[in-house]
Amino acid sequence: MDSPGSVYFEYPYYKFVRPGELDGEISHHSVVIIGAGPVGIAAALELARHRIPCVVLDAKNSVSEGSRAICIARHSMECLHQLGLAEQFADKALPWIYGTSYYRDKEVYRLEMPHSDNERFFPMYNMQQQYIEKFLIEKALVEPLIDLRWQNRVVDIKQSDSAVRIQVETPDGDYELNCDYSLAADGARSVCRHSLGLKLDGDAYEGRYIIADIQMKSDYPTERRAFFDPLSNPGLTILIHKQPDDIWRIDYQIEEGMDDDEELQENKIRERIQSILKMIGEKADWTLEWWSLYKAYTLALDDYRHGRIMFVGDAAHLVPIFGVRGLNSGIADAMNAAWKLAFVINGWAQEKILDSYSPERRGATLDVFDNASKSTKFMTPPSRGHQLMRDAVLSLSVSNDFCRPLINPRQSQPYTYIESPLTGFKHRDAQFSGGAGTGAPIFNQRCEDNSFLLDYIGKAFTVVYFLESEEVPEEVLKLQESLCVGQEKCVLIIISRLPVLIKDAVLLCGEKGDIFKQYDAIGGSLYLLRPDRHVLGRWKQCIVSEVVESFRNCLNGGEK
Amino acid sequence: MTKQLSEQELEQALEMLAVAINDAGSDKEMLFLSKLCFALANQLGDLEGLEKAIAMVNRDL
Repeated sequence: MDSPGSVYFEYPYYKFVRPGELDGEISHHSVVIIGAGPVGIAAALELARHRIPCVVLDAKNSVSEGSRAICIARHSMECLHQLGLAEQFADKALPWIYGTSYYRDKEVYRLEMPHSDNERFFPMYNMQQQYIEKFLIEKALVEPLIDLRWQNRVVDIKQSDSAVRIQVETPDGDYELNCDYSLAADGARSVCRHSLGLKLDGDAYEGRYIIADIQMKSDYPTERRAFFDPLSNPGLTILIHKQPDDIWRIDYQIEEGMDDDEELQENKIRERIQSILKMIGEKADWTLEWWSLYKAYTLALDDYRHGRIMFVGDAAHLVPIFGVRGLNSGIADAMNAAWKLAFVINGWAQEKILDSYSPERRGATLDVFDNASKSTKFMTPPSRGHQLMRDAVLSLSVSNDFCRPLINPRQSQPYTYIESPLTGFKHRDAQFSGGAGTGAPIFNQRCEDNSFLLDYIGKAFTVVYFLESEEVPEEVLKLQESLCVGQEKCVLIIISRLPVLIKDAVLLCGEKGDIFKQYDAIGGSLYLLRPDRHVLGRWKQCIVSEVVESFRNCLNGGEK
Repeated sequence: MTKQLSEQELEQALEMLAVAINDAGSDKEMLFLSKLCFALANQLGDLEGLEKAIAMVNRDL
């Protein structure tokens, strides 16, 4: 396979290794992951973090071509932090908080994503998908529990009650792979979906975009720029993002009824880009790096779990790029599926816990659809009526405030699992009027020594207990044992107003009122966290028996 | 009971709108009317009222 050309990225070459199965080795694996894209590899790394080995199969011998997904949200950075990769990502990627939307030549909306000094990570980081994949793969390659197989093309997948059978083609011949569970991470044109006769259901949007990357030196900061009905693309929409290595992403809408072939001619693309650059005042030389045609979809499987096979990322759902949720929800899928699978395989949870994967992650997809379809209809109005009203909003927003919120691109937000079958004691959540809600991911807090709360959470469950007196109740200390999972004790984080002496637990000082206020906690408040940082339950005044029951209910797969 | 215009006020409103539509010019007509609808919907502050107005206007369209 020829290495794709690039002005800045050196595509790695991953060698084909003749699999033992071709020489008669009989093997049975716990987990096989189909697809070594960012979602598949994130799942493999999360499984490895819980000591579960896996095989990852990919038809290619390198990373995906073209920068594709480029925005990594804070929640994904926290996942990468758990996988030990966040520092490498943060070093290379470009962080940002702001964006500006323009109507014709006027600014109509200023985006500011929520950010505070309490967060380790910025709300968003831009980095090309090639780097995202390369960094993830480099980590996977040195993880002995991950067997990464390149030029292994999956052509069929079947399952019985007890196993999954995968047919694989390689340059040296074909073989069959058996496993207990499989994660289908093979993207938009998933072979796994095909094999199982499954179809994505939902809507396709009319609007089409050329997605192009150019290399160009510019001092413009890393901000999202959206242009509605600009001079250089009248009646249409443009999106501009900055990436590392002086790469700029330019997405521009093409008119309906325009001939795809005509628009995809390189000279036509260069022409359009040149006029866009002229509009934004860029005069530097530039090189065209990559381009592709894009259409927005909101498509999803009815069920993300089919017996022993779980679908993650684009194999399960396709979401519009506006709002940057494709990669971000894919990574959340991977983490969710992987910890649950690991717990089942390790014997720490009932297999029924896997039933919660689809309601949780498909629920997240529907939330994305809701928000993304609003922003897609705004970016690319699907009808004359929508077009008229969209333009009305933009024009009104030049000088008026009231409808500017409608221009918000509704960027990726993590989903809450409060409705999940795994979540119990929902009524206890109502006792709080702030803090991270039951089902939501816990947010970070900077501690007095400049470490962060999320640095201390465990691989399994974590209890965060707020202390205003001099002693932690014995029954709370005992939670380290009663909520242990295999060899993993429950991590107990005590947030105390006073410097107390505590054995084994993590002590974070909260002499300043802030940390208590952030979580709307008082002495005796307790947050119980799942392995994926989502709040399983929280109590204003902890009831230890309920905490234990909540934990057991989760590992049993939830109420009927 | 929502405030309604008196006959004299209706005459004035008719004139204001006619002039405004002309001033907008034929190529900006639609944009002007869409903007006005949305601004007025916001000022009305009542979605049910908006729905009723849409239904009323649709009759005999």
